[in-house]
Amino acid sequence: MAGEIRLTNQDRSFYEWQLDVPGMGEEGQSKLRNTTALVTRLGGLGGPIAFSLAAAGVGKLILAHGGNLEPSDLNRQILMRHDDLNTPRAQSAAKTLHSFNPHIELETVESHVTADNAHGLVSKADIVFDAAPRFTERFWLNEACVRSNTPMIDAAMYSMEGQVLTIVPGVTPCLACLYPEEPPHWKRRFPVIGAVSAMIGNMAVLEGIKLLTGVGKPSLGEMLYVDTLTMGLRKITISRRSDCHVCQP
Amino acid sequence: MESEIPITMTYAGQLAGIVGASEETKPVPQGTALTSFLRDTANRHGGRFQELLFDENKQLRRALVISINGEHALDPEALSLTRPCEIFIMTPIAGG
Repeated sequence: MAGEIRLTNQDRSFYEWQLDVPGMGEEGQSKLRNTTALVTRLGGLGGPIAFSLAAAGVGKLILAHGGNLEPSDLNRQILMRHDDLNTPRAQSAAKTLHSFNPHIELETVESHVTADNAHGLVSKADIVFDAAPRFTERFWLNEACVRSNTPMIDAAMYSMEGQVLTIVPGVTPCLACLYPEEPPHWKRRFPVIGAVSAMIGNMAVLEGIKLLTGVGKPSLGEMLYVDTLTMGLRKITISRRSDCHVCQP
Repeated sequence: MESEIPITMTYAGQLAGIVGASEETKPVPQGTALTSFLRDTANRHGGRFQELLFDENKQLRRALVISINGEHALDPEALSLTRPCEIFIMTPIAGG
């Protein structure tokens, strides 16, 4: 691979335990080291996603989240700190990530995903983790990923449940196959416990790591649904819509 | 005489909250259209449940996730209930 960053002895010492995971090895770790991941929103889902990607040694994270930190964010947004209230969320998250793993590159974008920036952000990434609370943002990202042939892991939650959908353009259905229209009843403010969002976020990261490294089997064409009230995991086979306005020619 | 088959409904999140249970089983005449069954179910639970499933034109909302025995029902209008099954239904959720 042109311009590939090779693992250093320092990398080997940091990721030693992970290198021993069957199928990972230096090759898998090197793939993570050479990956740029876009994480959109750094809240209850996106925070744990970015944290676990940093822990895994993904080489560069692009962190997109607008607005300032509010008190009500702190029950779930694990990258944020009380000291950073009323300051930009993306900066607070980047500070935490930098102190956790100073050996990866971070780029902050103090904006949510918009129709105008979605394609530009996606074009800089090898993989996208979507943790946005608004369906319009998710749809813009989905379309940008399909157009640029970039895999996207979509994570969502409500109260004590959550879902993860792994989207590989040309291989799996896309988000618009699952949701062909914006639901009119979705409200930005919804109930959630931070541990649920962290669990779902980490499931999304595992899907991404599997896609990137070839370890295990990503859930392609299946939506993972978790109900933490019962700790039930359900896999729903999702099909492509023949009339999908995003992923069908 | 037409035979009846048991249909188990499993509700996620908001719907389970409205119903007060995550699962219920109802017998229906074999061959009942899925949308007809869902309309009866919505009428039974009323109000908010009805609003989440059907739009103002009484059409099933397209953004619902409905699966039958683990398979996404892409075109619920075209489906009939011909054998006992589990219908899982969830309203859309997002990140945050």
